[in-house]
Amino acid sequence: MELLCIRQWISGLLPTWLSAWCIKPVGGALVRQEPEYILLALMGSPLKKIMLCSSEKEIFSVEEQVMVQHSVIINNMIEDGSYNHEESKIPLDCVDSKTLKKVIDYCTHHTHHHNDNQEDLEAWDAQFLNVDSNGLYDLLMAANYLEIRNLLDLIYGTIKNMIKGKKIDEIRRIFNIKDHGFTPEEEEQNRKEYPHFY
Amino acid sequence: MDQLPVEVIGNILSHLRAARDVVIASATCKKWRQACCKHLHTLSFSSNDWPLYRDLTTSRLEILITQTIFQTSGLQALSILMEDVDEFSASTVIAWLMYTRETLRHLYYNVKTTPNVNILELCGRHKLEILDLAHNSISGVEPNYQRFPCLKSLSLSYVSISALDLNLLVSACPKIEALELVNPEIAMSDAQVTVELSSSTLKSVYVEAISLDKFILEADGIECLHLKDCALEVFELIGKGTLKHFKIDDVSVIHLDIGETVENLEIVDISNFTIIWPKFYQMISKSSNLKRLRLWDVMFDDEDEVVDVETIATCFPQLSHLSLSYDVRDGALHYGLQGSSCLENVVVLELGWTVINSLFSHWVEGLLKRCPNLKKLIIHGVVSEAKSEEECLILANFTTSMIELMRRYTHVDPHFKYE
Repeated sequence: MELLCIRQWISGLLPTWLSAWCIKPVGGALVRQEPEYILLALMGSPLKKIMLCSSEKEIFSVEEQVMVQHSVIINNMIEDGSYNHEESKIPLDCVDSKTLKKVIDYCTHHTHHHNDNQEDLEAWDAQFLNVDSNGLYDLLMAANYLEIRNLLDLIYGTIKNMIKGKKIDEIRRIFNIKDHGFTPEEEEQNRKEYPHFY
Repeated sequence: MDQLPVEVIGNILSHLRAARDVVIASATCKKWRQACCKHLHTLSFSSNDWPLYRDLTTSRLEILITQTIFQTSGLQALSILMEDVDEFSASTVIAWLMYTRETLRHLYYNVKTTPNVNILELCGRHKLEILDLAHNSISGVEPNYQRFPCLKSLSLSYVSISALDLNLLVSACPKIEALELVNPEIAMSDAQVTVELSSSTLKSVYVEAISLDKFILEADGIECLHLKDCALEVFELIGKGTLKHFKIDDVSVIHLDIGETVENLEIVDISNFTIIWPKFYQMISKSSNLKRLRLWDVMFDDEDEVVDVETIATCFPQLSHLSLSYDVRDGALHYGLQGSSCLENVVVLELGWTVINSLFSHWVEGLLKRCPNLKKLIIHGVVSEAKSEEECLILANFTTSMIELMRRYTHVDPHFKYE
């Protein structure tokens, strides 16, 4: 019912509203929009979108509410008014497109599915983090930069499980640490002091 | 991995928590060592983490802990929970706490310290927000010049403290929100042991294994109160009716008073208790927002007393979870199910027996009729080890009647839990 009735209602009111609100022409002509969206735009809806720009200069449009809920950095930008909806996009020079897409994916899923039961959410998260080490680090850097608490905790938990209970040589292999940076004397000293940790 | 800033590695190592894992990780490479020294904020020494802690002598363990703590800086959460250690020496513990107290926010410590160290006094005046202390003692609290300005959560287990010091301690914590007392050793100054706590910021109180004459709690903002395994003569809560969650488990109290205004009560959970039903009912009858009511393994003072569904339905229209387990007798069944008001919002019904009788299935049926929107039914039963023939027969009849019942109530999801 709703959409049709709203449409009729709006199309009755539209002429009055247009003149009252002085809809600004875009690009020299009044853009023809579906009535529902005009109404929603006038009401300042949660469907308001913001633009995020990756390091590869690719632009991603995402619901403002989704990013504001998850990213402290973006929330602060919107709140203190430094982001202008009409014109600007948020440049994220340290996040590449592939990672940014994944981050947006995470935030969107968790906003829309926050009422799901715990098991389903955890299963989705496990699937989400099924990436290679490089992908994981990229996600970690992005989540750290954007200050997305729950994604950070999730990634920390995963990395922690990779380290827990392992010995030093094993950890070096897993994380591809080729040069440990200790002097030969330091390394020998460590091995003598904690032989069973190696 | 080399790209990760050292602070992020510090966070990863902090998530490891267990000291053994952190030490191993820090020996992996120089960057991780640096992260451990400068950016580690959480460290835990727990006998659960590493069985080899048990093989170390106490002095060796003290040295290990000291070396590890002193290699860090800016530690915010420290946890030393050792089950097999008799005691740590005071000088070592003082060293650990003095080294970390400027930045420490969370401290979990359960080892006896000899001679006694007033841990709260030593580090509570800085940034400490959470203190979980066990097997130590607290004495000489002076609220005039000793305040714990950041302490939000205090948990004392097997701690020796006088009633007076306990009273003073709570008033010395202007921001305290959660208080937990487990098996405290309350020194008596006179014949009557009275604990009187007063705090306008306390939200949650949990008391276990305490035996007192009088316990008076004055808390204008309290939301959650849980008493377990206590023997009290008088328990009085003085507040502004903010209580939301009230739970009693295996408590004997002669005079119980939770105040006049109980409109905000949402959860009431009473188990292993002898109820004087009219008195109890009077206490909670004005709680029209009640969402969960649980009366489990309760006994009634007067054998003829009965919990009747009519009263529950009229007083608690918002009730969504109802759990009842008590001895269902003939008179109780008939009178308890009188009336026709329905529990419209109840979606989960839990019913249990300790000794099964043939009336139980009638009781289940009677209650099912009164819950038109029920989604889940959980039956808890205790099955005795030595099953007499009679008991087996009753259980068989019960099973048969449950199957018949569930055929009629197909929208209800049944679960059975036997122990």
